[in-house]
Amino acid sequence: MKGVNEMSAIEVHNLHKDFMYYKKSIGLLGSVKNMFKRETLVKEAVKDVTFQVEKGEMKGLLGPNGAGKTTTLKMLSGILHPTSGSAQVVGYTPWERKNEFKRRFSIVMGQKNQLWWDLPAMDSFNLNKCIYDVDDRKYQSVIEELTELLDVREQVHVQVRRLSLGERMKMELIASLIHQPEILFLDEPTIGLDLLSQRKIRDFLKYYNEQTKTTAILTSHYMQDIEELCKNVVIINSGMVVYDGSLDNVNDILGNKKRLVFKLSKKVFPEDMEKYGNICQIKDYEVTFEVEHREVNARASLILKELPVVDFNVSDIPIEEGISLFYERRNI
Amino acid sequence: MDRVGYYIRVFHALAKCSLMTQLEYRINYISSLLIEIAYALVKLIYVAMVYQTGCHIGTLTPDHIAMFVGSYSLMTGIYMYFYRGYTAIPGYVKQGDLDILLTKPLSLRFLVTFRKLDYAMPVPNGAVGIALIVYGWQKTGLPVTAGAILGFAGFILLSTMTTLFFFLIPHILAFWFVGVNGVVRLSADLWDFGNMPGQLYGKFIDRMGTFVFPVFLITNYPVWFIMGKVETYMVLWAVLAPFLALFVSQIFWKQALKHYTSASS
Amino acid sequence: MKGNKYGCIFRMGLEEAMEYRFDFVMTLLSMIFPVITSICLWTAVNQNTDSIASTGYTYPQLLLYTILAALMSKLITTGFENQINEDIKMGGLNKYIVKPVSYLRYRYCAFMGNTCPSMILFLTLTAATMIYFSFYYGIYSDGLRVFLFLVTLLLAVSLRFLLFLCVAMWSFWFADASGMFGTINVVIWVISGGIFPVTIFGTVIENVSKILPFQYLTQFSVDTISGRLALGEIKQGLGVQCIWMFVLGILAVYLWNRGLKNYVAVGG
Repeated sequence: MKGVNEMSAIEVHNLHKDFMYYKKSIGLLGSVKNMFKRETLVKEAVKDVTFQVEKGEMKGLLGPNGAGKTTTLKMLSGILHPTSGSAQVVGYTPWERKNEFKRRFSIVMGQKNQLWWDLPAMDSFNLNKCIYDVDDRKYQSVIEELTELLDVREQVHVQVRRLSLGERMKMELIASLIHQPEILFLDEPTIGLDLLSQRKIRDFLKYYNEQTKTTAILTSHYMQDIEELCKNVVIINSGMVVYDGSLDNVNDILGNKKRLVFKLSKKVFPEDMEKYGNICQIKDYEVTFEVEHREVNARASLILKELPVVDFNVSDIPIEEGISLFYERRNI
Repeated sequence: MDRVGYYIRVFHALAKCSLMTQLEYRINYISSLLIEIAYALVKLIYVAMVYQTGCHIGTLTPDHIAMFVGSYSLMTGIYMYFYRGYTAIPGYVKQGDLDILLTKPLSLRFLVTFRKLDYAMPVPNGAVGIALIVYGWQKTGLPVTAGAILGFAGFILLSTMTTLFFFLIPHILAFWFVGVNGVVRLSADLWDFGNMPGQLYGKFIDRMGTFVFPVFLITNYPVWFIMGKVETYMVLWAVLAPFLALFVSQIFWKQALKHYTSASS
Repeated sequence: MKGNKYGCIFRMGLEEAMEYRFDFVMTLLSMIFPVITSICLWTAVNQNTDSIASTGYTYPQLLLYTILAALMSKLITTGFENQINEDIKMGGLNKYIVKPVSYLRYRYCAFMGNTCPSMILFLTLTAATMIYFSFYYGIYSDGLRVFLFLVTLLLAVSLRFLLFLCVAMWSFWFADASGMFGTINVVIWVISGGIFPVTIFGTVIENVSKILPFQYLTQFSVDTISGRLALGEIKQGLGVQCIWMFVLGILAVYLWNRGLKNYVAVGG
């Protein structure tokens, strides 16, 4: 039970966002018609989103494309006004856009950059220093520390356009952390990066989050990001929350199924195997069954007895698949 | 007061970044410079014609007219300092670049206005402008006192503020119309009317250009001051205009922003 | 055979020009403002001094000049120098060298095609202006003058093409000459008499500009139809136009050959 003074860092209640847009009729006649009368359509980007993020927590925000993740983050950054609903981020209503609020958070969007293209990243850092009014000494120590952690001491003096994608992303992160924000919104920070850069950035975020206890929301398409960085996730689909809890429990909710993988010594017809359970996949001599957690022992024994098994393995359903099942759901 | 110092520091940082970025592309810088020199030639042709024909506008002699062209040139140079920043606004809107800027803890309008300062175009215009003003001032024999110079500078400052605030308006129509080029070009053409004293164009245009689309206020008033022909109502208007321009343009700005955020998805 | 080829290119140039209609209209409207300024200036000159006479024009002729020169400057423009620069810079020139079409002749046909719609518009507006001026200011133009005007116009257009062709040849030797083109365009606009007649600026300038080609891009044609020039002067001017066309033509071909050698040697 939380006391009145122990508000979560981020509280979101029933956020709802509609976008109005005009239907464009095709062809020349359509364009002429449009000049006089336009049909207004409504797109419900976010229908009803409620969740909390505790101080120091890094929460994953997952969902298929168009689910409303970026729109939600934009509302929490004050970029968009919700149609209805409320939110509090470190005690502020984001869309009031108070400067005191803006000084306490940062947003990094993987597909947009805020660095000046033709200048060394250092110049963009300095600009941010002025904008956020960071004092000289603190600025120096933050830059020292972050460039060391991300191993970019030399590259900060190279023009941003000459950096690799991975290096650019590191600079974006540094630029967003100059004012040591309490809240960090990360929208697809590792998108398009090579595996090594993804790993480096993941490690950095983990370390930074642990050291500074910065509260963060992370959206990503890469499961590894979520698995390594987030203990809890919110899954959004079609503008609504379909799951809000720990990552580990995702499988539990889905009925706790297990995957049994059998390697056979010779080919068996699928029709003959169907009686043993749900077949997920057959590849060459390998067949995968999906079985209820309780029935693992019984089924496994049966199959081992009756089929020509050479090797056999039991595993959990990969988180990805578990989560994408949520994508198809609309209600918990 | 603290806040003013803050904005000055931010402006300084932005100005430095703009300059460094522009100097990265030296050839473009020189091209820009050259073409503005060519346009300065155009302004000088008008002055040459006035002198050659001994043209008078009312009681204004060619020497006076030279000062008016000079003042127009100088103000054009000043306007060109922010011009590129304004023309970049439709780009921000189209690419959605305003999102990140909206999250910064300072006036978005300030940030957008001073993000792309130009250091090429003001140079020829400013140089020609000052040269013509000095030349005309000398030839007309008008008094060159500290008071006159300070007053002139003061009027230029007021003109700068009016220019800065008012001329945001044609550019932010980009928030509503994707192809805003026509309006911008029109406003640029109307700006060029300021190259001569308003009375050349007749009373109606003179009034419109002073009180509605204030080009004559911006380019003419500083010269009227040097000539000692500034009446009280003119001083009042020169001081009031920047605030009025700020107020009106801010209304447009807020509306535009509302439209932008409700449309972005 | 050859005629068809070039005819096709002409049509392509025409189509391309039609696409830029809206931009076109805006450019046209843009033209009105400096014309207003010039007309107001000439009116001021006319009212207070008698120095109109020293310009060698009458007041109505100056008004007519302002309008026609502005029309001519805005409507008969080039843009191909940028395309040539692109072709050379990007190596697009390669595909033309290979085809059995002379690049220079290709450019000429495309240019003529491009200019066609604006030329028609220009002639229409000129005719309208002349009619207005004949009613209100009594400036008449007889059949012979109109014919000579059309001749000088054709020569002026071709002269402009050749001049800018020579300018475009700079692209062979400079990394990116396009930055210069804008500047050159503006300068030529002024010294060809696009704003004020160059001859009003004193006898020295008057004599020099009679020999140089620039006046013959704009001022000469306008003076022909406005009646400012006597027939003898028109004939003389036509001669100078032809001489310059010849000179610039040779220069263009020479630069082209020199430049091509350079282009091929570098590998395109």
